[in-house]
Amino acid sequence: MKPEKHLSPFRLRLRRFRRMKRGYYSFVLLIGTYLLSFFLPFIMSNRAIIVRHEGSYYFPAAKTYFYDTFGFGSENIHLSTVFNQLADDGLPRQGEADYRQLKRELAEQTDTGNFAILPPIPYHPNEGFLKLEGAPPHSPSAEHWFGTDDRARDILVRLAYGYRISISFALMVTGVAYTFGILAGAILGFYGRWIDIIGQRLVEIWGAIPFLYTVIILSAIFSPSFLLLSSILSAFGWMGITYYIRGEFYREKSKDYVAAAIATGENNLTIIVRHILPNALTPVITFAPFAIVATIVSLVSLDFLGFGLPAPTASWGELLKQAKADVKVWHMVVFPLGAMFVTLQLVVFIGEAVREAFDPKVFSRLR
Amino acid sequence: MDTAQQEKPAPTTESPQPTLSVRGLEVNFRVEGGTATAVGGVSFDVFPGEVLGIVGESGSGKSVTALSLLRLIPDPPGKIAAGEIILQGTNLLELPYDKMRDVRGNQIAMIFQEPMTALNPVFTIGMQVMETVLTHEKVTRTEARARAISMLDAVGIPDAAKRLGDYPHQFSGGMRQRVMIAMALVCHPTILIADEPTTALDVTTQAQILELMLELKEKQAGASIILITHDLAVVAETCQRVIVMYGGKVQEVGTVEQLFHAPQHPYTKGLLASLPASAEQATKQKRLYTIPGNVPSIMELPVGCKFCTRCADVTDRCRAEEPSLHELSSGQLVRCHLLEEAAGG
Repeated sequence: MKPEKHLSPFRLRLRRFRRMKRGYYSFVLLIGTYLLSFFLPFIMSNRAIIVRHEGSYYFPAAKTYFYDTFGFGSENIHLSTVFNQLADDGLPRQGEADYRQLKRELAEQTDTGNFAILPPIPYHPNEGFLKLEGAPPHSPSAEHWFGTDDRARDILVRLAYGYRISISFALMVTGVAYTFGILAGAILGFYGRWIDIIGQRLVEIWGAIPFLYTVIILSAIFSPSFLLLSSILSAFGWMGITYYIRGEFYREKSKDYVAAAIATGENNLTIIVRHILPNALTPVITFAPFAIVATIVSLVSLDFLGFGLPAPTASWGELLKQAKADVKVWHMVVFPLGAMFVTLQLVVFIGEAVREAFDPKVFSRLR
Repeated sequence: MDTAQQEKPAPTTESPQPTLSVRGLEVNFRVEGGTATAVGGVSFDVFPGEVLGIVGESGSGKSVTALSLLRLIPDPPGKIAAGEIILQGTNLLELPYDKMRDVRGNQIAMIFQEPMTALNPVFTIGMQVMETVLTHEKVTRTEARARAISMLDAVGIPDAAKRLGDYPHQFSGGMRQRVMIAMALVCHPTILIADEPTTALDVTTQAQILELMLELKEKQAGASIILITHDLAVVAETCQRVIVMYGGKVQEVGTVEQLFHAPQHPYTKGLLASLPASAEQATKQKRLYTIPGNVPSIMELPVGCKFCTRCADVTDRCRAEEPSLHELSSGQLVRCHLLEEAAGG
């Protein structure tokens, strides 16, 4: 291999990571689907993407998308009155318009030019299909590929929305916990001495607080929400990484380049952030994918135990809980577990590749 | 114990105003079971334009002395217990930390021994040279970049503008040491401390690096180099004056000629005798001379003369009483009872 110019050690590792096909494609797939999941209201939702009605265009999905996702707009205008929709009892329909019905109606009016385009999978995650034949949970069918859960909600759609929540949650918790852990570890490792001794004891005391009890108690006081749960998990997830960062800082601090930086007259903050930190990040980066796996699993377990996100949030753990209640309903066991397995496996593949890309052995002369 | 403060600075024929004066510098290290004195009352001057060598075995306190000049002693366990380090009228030991940072890299710069670890592996070399400029001077990045390029060019990095974006791992040891020198000199410091700058390099590269350092010093009027080494050949080639240290004390100070042709202190004599002789002498002399014994641990330094445990001519007075640094008629400063008695009675 001819050494290329201007390649930082980090870029070299990135290049090695890209060469590891399994890990790299897992990464692309995971990030791709995650980014795609932000457009779920346009892929899996019961609201139409575009409606042309009496010469006017409406974008119900976009409206609710921004309303849900970015918090724009204080009111959610119901278009059912605009479309003159009737409910089953023949009276004007109240609340949200039924776009699947609207699509059928508009399709019949070929001369007006009215139409409605719905997302490819026109179901909402919280929508119960109780009118389906038989009792929920319904088995997989042509309409509902993965079947429905015990409240007749489409499992595929719930899994997809649950995926977005799981990954967002894991990224956020890992991000916050690692930021905090790196900060604490850097301070302990760089300053050392009594700061380190006292700081480490505080970390140990904090680490001795039982996590699950705290969650149960806090869930009893406050209603659990995405923010509360991610805060709790972050607050209990940062300790592990401090040990690694602290150790790395101790090691890097004694190297001559740090002495050179001090001898150049740079201040402590610059030395910590610019000089030592980039050299101390290797364990953090290699552990991060596995931390993400752990966080996904802990959210699933919390949901499973009933201390997780409040109903009716689409969550994998909640589906697994239903599956546990009746193991004979095979589609409720196989699909959520399968989704979890595939996702976790992808992250583990990424983790493996990252670890290998950061393996210093390749750079050393002795093997 | 003699009072180091009373000791006279080395006499010199050069400019009488020293750039840097060290007076009675004492550095202690707290270790398990007590305090170890690594540097015990060292005084010396650095004059403008000179190359001052500090030689001594490992553990003689030469590196600690050098680090103290920049107040880089890790505290704890180390502590500068006493003394003054006066740089152009200011006592560095009394400066607040922020002011001290302005001195580092700007007025006193340092080159480290290991070029392999002294450069940060994640930064381009251009960035590392620029950083020194950006830390000390109010310049734009473009100006800093131009300064870095001209400095790297001056230290002999071929095609400096192109190599600016390279990382340390793309350089050889000698080239890295050149980068280190560029980093140290980019702010035109008045004093450059070189702590064993060539120890980790090939012999051929050593000469180049030393030559480069001298050459760059010549370009800047009044700049001085403090060269710390245990390699007497390097001293002979580069230095004007030499300080010989042993057991945390200055044992002998003299010009390079005096030291090599008329060494006075038994330790200096021993050091010179341990050098491999030239070919014709080697035929007569079968074995290479070594000074018997080892450098005493700084925890167990003798009460009297620090060299008394290994000196061939040791007397009872040497063991009991530490000699003071006194001037000989030749102008050399020596710390030895025998020479003092011989000179003055």
